[in-house]
Order: sequence, then C-alpha cells, then structure tokens
Amino acid sequence: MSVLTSRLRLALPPNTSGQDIALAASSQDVPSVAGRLLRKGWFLEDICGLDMAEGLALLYHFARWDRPTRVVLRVLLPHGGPECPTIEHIYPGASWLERETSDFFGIAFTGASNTTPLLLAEKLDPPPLSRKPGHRMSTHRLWPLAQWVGGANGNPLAEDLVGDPGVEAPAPKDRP
Amino acid sequence: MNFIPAANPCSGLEGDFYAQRFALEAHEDSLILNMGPQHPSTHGVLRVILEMDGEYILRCEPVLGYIHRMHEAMGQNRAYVQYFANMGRVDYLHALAWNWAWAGAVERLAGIEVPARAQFIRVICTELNRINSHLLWWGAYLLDLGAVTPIMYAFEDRERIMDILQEPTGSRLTYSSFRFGGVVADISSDFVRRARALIARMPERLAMYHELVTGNAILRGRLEDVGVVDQAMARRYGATGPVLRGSGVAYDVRRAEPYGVYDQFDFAIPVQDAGDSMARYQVRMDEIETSLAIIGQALDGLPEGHFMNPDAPRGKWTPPVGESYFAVEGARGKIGIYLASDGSDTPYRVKLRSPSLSNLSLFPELAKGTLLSDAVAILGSLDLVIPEIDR
Amino acid sequence: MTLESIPDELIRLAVALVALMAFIAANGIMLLYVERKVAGHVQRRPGPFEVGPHGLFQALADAGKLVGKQLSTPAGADPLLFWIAPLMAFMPVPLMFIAVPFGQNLWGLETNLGIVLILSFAGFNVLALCLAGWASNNKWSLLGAARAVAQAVAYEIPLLLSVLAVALMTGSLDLRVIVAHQGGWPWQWNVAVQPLAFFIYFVCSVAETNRAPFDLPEAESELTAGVHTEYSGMGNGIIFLAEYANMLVVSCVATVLFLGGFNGPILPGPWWFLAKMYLLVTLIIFMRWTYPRVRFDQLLNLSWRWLTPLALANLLLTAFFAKLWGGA
Repeated sequence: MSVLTSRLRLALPPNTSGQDIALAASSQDVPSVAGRLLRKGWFLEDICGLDMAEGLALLYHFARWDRPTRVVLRVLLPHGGPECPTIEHIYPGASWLERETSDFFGIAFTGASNTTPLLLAEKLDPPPLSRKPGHRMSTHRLWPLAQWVGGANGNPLAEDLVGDPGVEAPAPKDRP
Repeated sequence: MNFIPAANPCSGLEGDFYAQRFALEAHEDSLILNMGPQHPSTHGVLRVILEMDGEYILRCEPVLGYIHRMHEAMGQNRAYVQYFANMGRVDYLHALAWNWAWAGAVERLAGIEVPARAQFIRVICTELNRINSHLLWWGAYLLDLGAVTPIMYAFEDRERIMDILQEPTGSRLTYSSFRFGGVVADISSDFVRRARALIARMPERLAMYHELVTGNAILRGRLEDVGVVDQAMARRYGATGPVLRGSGVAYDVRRAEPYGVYDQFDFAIPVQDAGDSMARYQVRMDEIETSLAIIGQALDGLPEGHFMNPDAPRGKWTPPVGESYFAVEGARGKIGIYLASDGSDTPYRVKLRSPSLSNLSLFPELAKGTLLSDAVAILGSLDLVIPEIDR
Repeated sequence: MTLESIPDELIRLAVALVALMAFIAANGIMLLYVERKVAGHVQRRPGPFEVGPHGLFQALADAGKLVGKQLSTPAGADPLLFWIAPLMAFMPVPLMFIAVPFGQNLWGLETNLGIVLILSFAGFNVLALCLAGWASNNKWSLLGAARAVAQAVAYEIPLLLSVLAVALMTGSLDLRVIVAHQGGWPWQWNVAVQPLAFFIYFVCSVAETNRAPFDLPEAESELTAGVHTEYSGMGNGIIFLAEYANMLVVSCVATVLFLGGFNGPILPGPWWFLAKMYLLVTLIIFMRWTYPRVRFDQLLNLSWRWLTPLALANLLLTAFFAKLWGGA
C-alpha cells in the first residue's frame, strides 16, 4: 500500500457538483499528489482559494483528456500565515495560478521562483477575497460528512489516482 | 549566448518594479525592450518584457493586470442574475460561452431544468458567436503579420452575424442574454431564415479566404514550424482549445463533457498534428466550418416550446448550499466556473477558469530563442483576449 | 555675370530641378490619394470621400494638417541628427531624377554615367533611416534602423547586378543610349530579352524603398512605425514624401532600363514614359495591400540565397551572349 494514500482522505461529492472525486491532503503532500497525477496523465485546470471558517481552503482541479472525470484536491491551511509548497516544478502552468491565489488570499507558496503579484498592483492587506471571521462558511456545510468515504488508504479509486506501491513521488527538479 | 551578467543591469532603466526585477538576470550586451501594454500586436493591454540579442529573444516575461477588474470579488456581492453582465465583459469575443458557463454552474447547483427549445437556441447563438470570434481572430492575426486587408473582409462577415444575433440577444458584442433556465428572448422565423442564408453564404467566403490567404507562400513561411507545442508541454501548462487540438489531442469539452444538447449533434473535432502556428490556424478555420454544421443541424431540429423555464427563479433568489463546477468549450479553450454557495442571495465564491491564462503561460517557454517577428506570430496564434486573462 | 555667360548646362539644370521639385510634390499628393483609394477599394470600402468630390482634396488636407503640427523632438534625442535624417532622406530624390530621360530632349543633366549617379544617390536613403533610428532615443526605432540597414545592404547587390546586365548588353551606362537601344513595341523592350533581370530588379526595388511585403523597418504591427515612430508633423511628411518619390525613381529607372523608356507608337514619348512609370507604381501600391510581411531572416535569405546567385548567373549569361554576338 502506498505511503502517500495513507495520509489522504477521499470524498465522493454529489454528481451535481461537477467534481467526481475529492482528495483531501495536508499542504506538505501537495507536491507528491501533483507529481503522481501528472504521471498518470491529469492536467491542472485551476487553483481556487476559498476562505472558510476552519481555515483557508485551496482547491486544485484536475481533469483528463480521455475521460470526463474531474478530481479536486482540497487542502486546508490555517488562517494565520497560510503556506503551501509550490507545484510549479511539476505543472509550470501552476506558477501564475499560485501567484493569483496568493494575491487574492495572501497564501505564501513556499519554493516559488516568482512571488511578485500577478494581477494586483501591490500586496493588499487584508487580501481582497478573504472574509471577515463572522462571514465565513463552515466546511461541514459545503462538504458535509456524508460525502466522505474516509481514508483513501486502500481505496481502489485513490490507488488508481495517486497510488504507486513502492515508488514515492519524484523529488522536486532543480529549476533549469 | 553564454550568460555573462550585465555590469549594472538597471542602469538607464527608469522602469518600474517589474522591469527592474527582470533586468537583474540580464545578459551582457542585451537589449531590454518593453512590448506593450499599448502595442498593436498584443491584442489588448498585455505587456511583455523582452530581453533581446539583436532580433532574437533570449527571455521574456508577460506582465498582467492592466485590465484587472476583480470579477471574482464582484461575484461575491452581486445577485446571481446580475453576474451575467460581468460574464459578457470577461471575454467579450465569446461572451455567450461565459454566459453559458455561469448559467450552467448555477443550474447544476440548483437543479434548474432548461427546456429543449432554449437548449437549441443556446447552441445556435453560442456557435454563431464562436464563428464571430474566430473571424475576428483571423483578421487581427493577419493584421499583425502585415496583411492589412483580410480584417476588412472578416468584419464584413462579422457584421452579418452580429445583425443576426442582435435579435435574440439585444447586443452586438458583450452579450448577457442567458438566464437561469433558458434565454432572455425567443428566436423568430426571420432569425432562422437569416441564419440559413448565412450557412449558405459562408462556405464560399471561407473558400476565398483559403485561396487568397491560407495558401500564400509568405504566410506559410511565417507560420510553419513557429511556436511548436508538443503534447507533454500542453499538459503541463493546462493548454486547451485550438492550442491543444493543434498539437494532435482531440479534446473538446463539447464532446468530452457534453453540456446542453451537444450530444445530439454529429460534428467532427478538427485536429492537426504539427503543433505549430499553422496547425492552430488550420484548426480554427476548420472550427468555423464545424460550427456552421452544428448550427445547420440545430436549425433543422429546432423544437417548439418555451425559451425559458416558467418555473425558473427570477430576480433575487437563494440557491441551495453546495458547490458546482461547470465547463464549456469557448473559442479559446476550456472555460470553467467553480461556484460555492452558502444559501444566501449572493454567491460565496466564484472562480473563473480562463483558457487564455493557461495558453499565455506557455508563451515564455515558447518564445525563447525565436525572432521578434515569430513572437508576434506566436502570440496571435494563441488567440488571447486579455480581459479574459486579467478578469 | 551676364545671362550669356551662364553656361547652358547650368540653366538647363536649374530649370530641370525646379520642374522636378514641382513634379515630385504633385506626385506626392497624387500618389497619396491613389494609395488610399486603392487601399480602400481592395478592402471593399470607398476610401477618402469627404474632402472634395470623391475625396480628391484629401491629400491637400493631409498636407495642411502635417504642416500645422508641432515639431517635437523626443527627450534625450540628438536634435541635429534627428532633424537631419528626414532632410537627408529627401535631398537625393530630385538629384536622382535629373539623369532620367523623360522624352526625346527632356532630361536635366547630360551625363554618360546616369546609372551610376542614380544608384549612388540611392544609398543616402539608408543613411537617413539609420540616423533616424539612432537619433530617436527609442529602442523600437533602433531595431527598425538595424533592420533597414541590413535589408538595404542585402538588396543593393542583386539590384546592381541586374542593372549591370542591362548595361553590359547595351554597352553604355548612359540612360539615353539604353532607351535608344529599345523600340516602341513590347517585344522590342529589354524585358523581352532580360525577363529575369527585370524581375530581380523589381523585387529589389520594392525592398529598397521599404514597401510591403518588405516593409520591416517600419513594420506597423511589430515596431509601431519603427524608424518613423518619433517624428511628428512635417518631419513625418518629408519622410513619406521621400518614400513616395523613391517609388517613383525606381519605377522611372525600371521604365528606362526594361520597358523601353519614352519609346512608343502614335503618342509622343513623355506620355508613354509616364504611362509605364505609373503602371509600375500602381503595381507596387497594390502589393502593399495584398501580401503579409516577410520575416526578417527570410527576407535576408531571399536576397543572399536566391536573388544574388540568380542575378550573378544572369550577368554571366549576358556576358557570354554579349561576347558571342557583339555588343560590349
């Protein structure tokens, strides 16, 4: 069994959401998951931030060319000093998406080569799309517990997506 | 050119923060040039900082944000139906695709049915809009390459299509005529007659364009083998639309994740294998013909009925709590809208997935080592609309 | 100094220069109108229509506007070089016309080195563009100037070689002798004997005058007017006048060298000359609105790898035949 899948949680969102599989990971596992997904042929659609009551959620949407499936990778970051490792060495297209999310939500993507603002003129405080504490929604309302299958460990869907028995995710390549 | 760092990279560079940061990694004896944000070939307010060795581009960096209007923040403080006007302004050339993405996202979340006639009207109008967008792309692209006449011919065709579309939508460019559960107005028999006349007329116009322009030796010399995108690169950058189909991948959201009534139509997805600018050019020209075929089939099968679901919510209303993701094939690629609702009358979060942003992120890697003229040709072949990138 | 002591040639030269200045100015205005009308009709629109009947006085209105605009020198530009450049672009133009025979007795300067005179003065245009690009203190103009110099140098050589082929065949560098060697009918023109040289000459002359599809130094969509970006008002006007006059000069020379000059049946000579000249000018104007632009390395490749070897081969062939069947 893969070490990586033991750290993930799997959810099956209702099919009215347009997303077929949801994986929840902690921020340090994001590069490993992204690396596995690239090797399995998924492409990154977008990176979306979401200011929730329990933390700052980061949603990575992946899709494929040959199957109409969408995978969303959900990461929950703490509100104070949100940080997440960059995946721009795996998906170069993520570089701009991360800069945009960092502009709007103030998330720091560690290891990113270019952290200048993409769309906004300067770093705004508070970040424009973050919400005041009283106005945030709970993750339990948006992603109710009924969706969650539980751990991804051993689940055939998760193994199909990111499982790779015996082989860990490739280390980040040096920047060319 | 071996990397010898410039002695004082920012000397004489009274530029802004981005230019000075770019200059820090400058080679010796290179020229740092600013293309845009006002430039005839950047198709909007796009700024590209170039480091040139003579005519060759060593490095480039696009600087965005000159038309950033924060549509995603506007999505959080407007009623759901008010956001259609924003959708018309995101990509003004294929506004109906963004309209459809927004309508689809909310309809998927709230379970709103769309009557069959409305679905067909949506298909016809969106495909007409796609033809319009491709015609403008064609004219503007050739203008960048130095042929100043084709844009006049393209605009003549665009005028006819805009006249046809003006009847159901009420606008000429920034359409916002979709609603939840249908469209804002019905199409008349006059519309059907004019659309059929257009379908009859376009093939000979396209034949003339191909004869005069596509086969031109100078054009082929400018476009062939310029800006080759291979499939691995397209996957890593998330490129979609004609940029991806020009590299041999038959991925079209209308076929891959069918929405509306597209699964009822028989159409071929144009694909080219070369991956260069000529391939992308050819894909878009073929897509105009595909759209004409779809419109013809839709007009043939147009059912009677409502153009708007009579039970659909109007005005300010509250959808259920939840999230939805809806993808649409726009003229530039895969448009995606992620919507999160907290049960109030304004959305909780709207994320606009812009195909031009992903396509433009290819550009720094593509333009390395090419000539300045090639960079212009590559930018045009990516078919960018900067308001869609900046939102 | 009495009127009798002034040499005849000097009077002739002075009169010719005045007449040529008037000719150039009138042509500038007329060609501007023709260009805009041709552009309009190729693009399915009528072109200028408001000023005067069918827009006939548009060029006068444009000239008036250009004269009235402020002459601004960009900050950091070298003012001397900046303003010398348009003058230098215009100055050689009347000088190039004085050697061209418009009719049986209609020329400005009697010289047996007409070709050399014209080709040597043509090089001033390049220097003017180079100065304009450098002195503008603008990186885009600099790129345009670099392109202009490379292009001019590359296309000068096949031009010279093709002209040389005609001179070799005729045995003289004197334009009047070359015209006298040709007859009035198309099969008696030099183009019937030297079609390749005519083609090469025509392509090179379009490139020398920086007209589309070889207009990279002023490529609108890449360099935002390239070399002329910083010029306003009459600086711009003089440069454009020089460009149109250059078009006229190369058409005149082509007419003289290849199309029989002022020879022709029925009508007196000058009318035929003007007809042939304007035919070529209209052809050049048409080409601008029809073709996209060549890329720069393709432009240089065309010259160095195709036109120069072809022109050389043509010259060798001409020399061979000239030796066999008399001539030089």
